[in-house]
Amino acid sequence: MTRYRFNRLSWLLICFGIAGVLIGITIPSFGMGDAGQFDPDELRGRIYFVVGDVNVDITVNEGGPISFYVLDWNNSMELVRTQSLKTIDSIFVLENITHFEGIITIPVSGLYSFISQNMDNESVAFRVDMSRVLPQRHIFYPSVLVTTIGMILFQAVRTPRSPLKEL
Amino acid sequence: MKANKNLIEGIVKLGRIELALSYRIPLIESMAAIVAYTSCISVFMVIFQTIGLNLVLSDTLYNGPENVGAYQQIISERATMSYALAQTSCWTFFTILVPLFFAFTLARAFEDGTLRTLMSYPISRTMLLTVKTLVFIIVISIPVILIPLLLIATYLPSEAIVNYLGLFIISTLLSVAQLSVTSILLSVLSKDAATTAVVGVLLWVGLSYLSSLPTIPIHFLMLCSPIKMLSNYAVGLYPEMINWELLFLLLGSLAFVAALFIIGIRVFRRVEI
Repeated sequence: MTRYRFNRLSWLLICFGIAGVLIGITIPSFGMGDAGQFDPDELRGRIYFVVGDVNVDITVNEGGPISFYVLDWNNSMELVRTQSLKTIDSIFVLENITHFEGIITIPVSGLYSFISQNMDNESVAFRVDMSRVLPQRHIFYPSVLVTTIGMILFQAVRTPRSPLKEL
Repeated sequence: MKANKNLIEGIVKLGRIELALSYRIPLIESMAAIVAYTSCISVFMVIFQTIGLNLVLSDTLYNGPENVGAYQQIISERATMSYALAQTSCWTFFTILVPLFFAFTLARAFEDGTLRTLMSYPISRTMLLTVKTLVFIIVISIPVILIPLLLIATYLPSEAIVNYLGLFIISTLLSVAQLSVTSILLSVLSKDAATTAVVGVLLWVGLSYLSSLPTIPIHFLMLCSPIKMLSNYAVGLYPEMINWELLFLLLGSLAFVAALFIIGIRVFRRVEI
């Protein structure tokens, strides 16, 4: 590959990396969450697209405890197909809680369902507030890496040859 | 056979000259990055929207496979919408960039004498303009078509299918071609970079605004933004329209681009350099 092509490649990596860093920082952050009342034997949740960790605040206002599950897309569809949580692999589980505040680590970017289950014999009023932790690490850190590689390549291509090598 | 081979070799050689002259580092790279940024924001804007998931475990009439199909359909609709939004967002961005690009590569070449130097080589004017247009359409369309697809393939499940993908590709090519031939026509008519830039940007920003109005007739969209027309069709804004009508409109758009291009070549062949 010629020096010119390496130069183009380095610029491509730098430009894409900077675009990715900007997206990782300024990613559109719609409100996420769920609230309301649900009956015993009912699963209630929402599917969200996430590219990084999620901050979660769960509060049960009325009634007994709930369980909270985070499932990836395949397991979410398995749940929809079988209507059972027994064969499901959750990436995060909280059982019999009335309050929780913390950060859920998302292993890979994608669609995830955040599901609450009523564990009581009566209706439960609950509220789940979620927000994306910025920067969204599954975009931000790879972009920083790409920018760094681009800069190193750019510097390597532009470094003048040693006068000794010319001799 | 040999004549054809020479012609292709000539086009390739001229294409490489055009790439080296007009697309200096980091023009293509930064354009691709802006397309990536715009596409990423557009795709995320659509797929960030929530999907409800409520189940009653004791429901005996529940049909699991049917519901899975419904979710897969929602995901495909989201993929199509996000692709459409990415394409139209990139088009809106290009309505500013394309007139500026041709103002500072073609119209400026009239002013600084680059075109006169280029014409001293055995190259026909028709060939020069054709290669310039083709190179631009290829260089711009590839990231616009591929980057949103790549994002959808990366972030959405494999069940997500972009509907009307072939038509989207055709209409993207047509939209980019429309922008470029209009800017070329302006450049050869004015032979002045500032005039081309100002008139081109005002014209296309105006058309872009008009095309975003909800009451705009579809035939107007066919002439100024095939990608917008197809996006509206894909998201269900024209429920009464049937497929052959859409194809007919796209052919009309192609005829309009071809007519503008022929006018541009005719003007360029007669213009004094």
